[in-house]
Order: sequence, then structure tokens, then C-alpha cells
Amino acid sequence: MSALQGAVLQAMDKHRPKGLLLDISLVETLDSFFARTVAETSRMVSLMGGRTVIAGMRPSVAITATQLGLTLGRTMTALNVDRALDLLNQTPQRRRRL
Amino acid sequence: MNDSPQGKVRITSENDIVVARKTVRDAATQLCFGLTDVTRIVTAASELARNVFLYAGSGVMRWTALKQNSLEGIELAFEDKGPGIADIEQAMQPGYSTSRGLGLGLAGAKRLMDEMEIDSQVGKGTTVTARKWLRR
Repeated sequence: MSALQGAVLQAMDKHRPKGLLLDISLVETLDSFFARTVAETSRMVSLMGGRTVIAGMRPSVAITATQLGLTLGRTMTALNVDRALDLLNQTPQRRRRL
Repeated sequence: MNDSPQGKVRITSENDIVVARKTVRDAATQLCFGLTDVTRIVTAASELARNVFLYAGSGVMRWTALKQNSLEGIELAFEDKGPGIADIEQAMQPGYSTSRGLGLGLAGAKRLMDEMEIDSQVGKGTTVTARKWLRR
């Protein structure tokens, strides 16, 4: 487990948020290792009852990720942070099974 | 070919993967690759550098600017003295992984680059060479 995952889960426990928002608008390289970390974190957050939205993926990163065959599991995506916040506030929490 | 731009990064730690990525980004940008191709090349380098670190513990990445007639491009070579790959065909299958990875590394890197060759001997090591050509 990475330091980021540990910090996220601690914060989930402490602040009881609706979910996790990852702003990746500054990320220039998304490789399979990074994608695995995001997908795993998303699953952990989901198990705790939260949702994960990643926001702001760059066009070049989206093209490359698709060619590479990356998937982010059940992580939701949004065009930018504003849209991501809307998504977290509006989408009713659905029951999900892992 | 001796004076063509080139560089080398030793990969011995997780942080060296970041250094390799930065080096390749700068090189590919200098060689006038567009942003999407730079991203493809850097992402492939990231996958291959992580393979070196993950499976061999250490190794070297070399990049070279290519010029063949009117064609220009970049070559990346990742060399390690790790355990080697017993079945390269199997290792190239998407989803195949002997580590905790997603199994996208080799097959994914090949899709992102124009050409890729793997030279590996069990017990001796592996060299992965990949090239990307500039589109004009």
C-alpha cells in the first residue's frame, strides 16, 4: 500500500467525506503502475462507503492510456474539478457489490 | 551516427524511473515529437523502466536520436542482467504478469512505440529496444 492510499483511508475515517476527488490535470504520464494505484485506492474507498472521481485527464494522457489498455476499475471520471464536485454531490449513492 | 544525441540513465531505485521519464521527455521534445507522441514515448519508457526495476532490480536505459535517410526518430534501450524472460511470446500477452502489475507493460509499450524487440536469455538478462519515428 502506498503512502497516498494510507493517507486517503485515514482521512476517509476521520472526516467521513462523500468520496475522494483526484485532480490529475497536472499529470503528464499515466502508466500501468499509477493506474493500478488509482484503481486500488478507488476500491478501498468504495469498501469504506465512498466514491472516487478522477478529474481533468489531459487529452494526450487519455489517448495514451487507451492505447496502453489501461482501465481504472469503477472510478468515475469528470472533465474538471467543478464537474467532479457536481458528480459527488448529485449522484445518489448506489448499492454496489465488489 | 557517433555524434547523434544520446543519453543514459542508470535504474537502481524507484526514483530512477522518474529520472528516466524526465530524460526521455526532454529528449523526445527536443527531437520535435508532438505532445501526444511525447506522452506515448514517455509512458512506454515508464513501463519498461519499471520492468527493469521490478524484475532485475537494476539496469540501464539508453536513448539515441535516430536518423536514417529522411527518417528521424528516437530509440530507447533497456538493458538488465536480471532473470531473463523464459517465454517472450507469453510475456507479450496482454494481462500476463508474474508480478503484481497489470500485465500491460511489454504489450502496452509495444503498442505505444513503432517497433520493439526483446532479446532475453534466462539467467543472463534482458534487453528491450524500442523505436518511435517522427511523422512529417
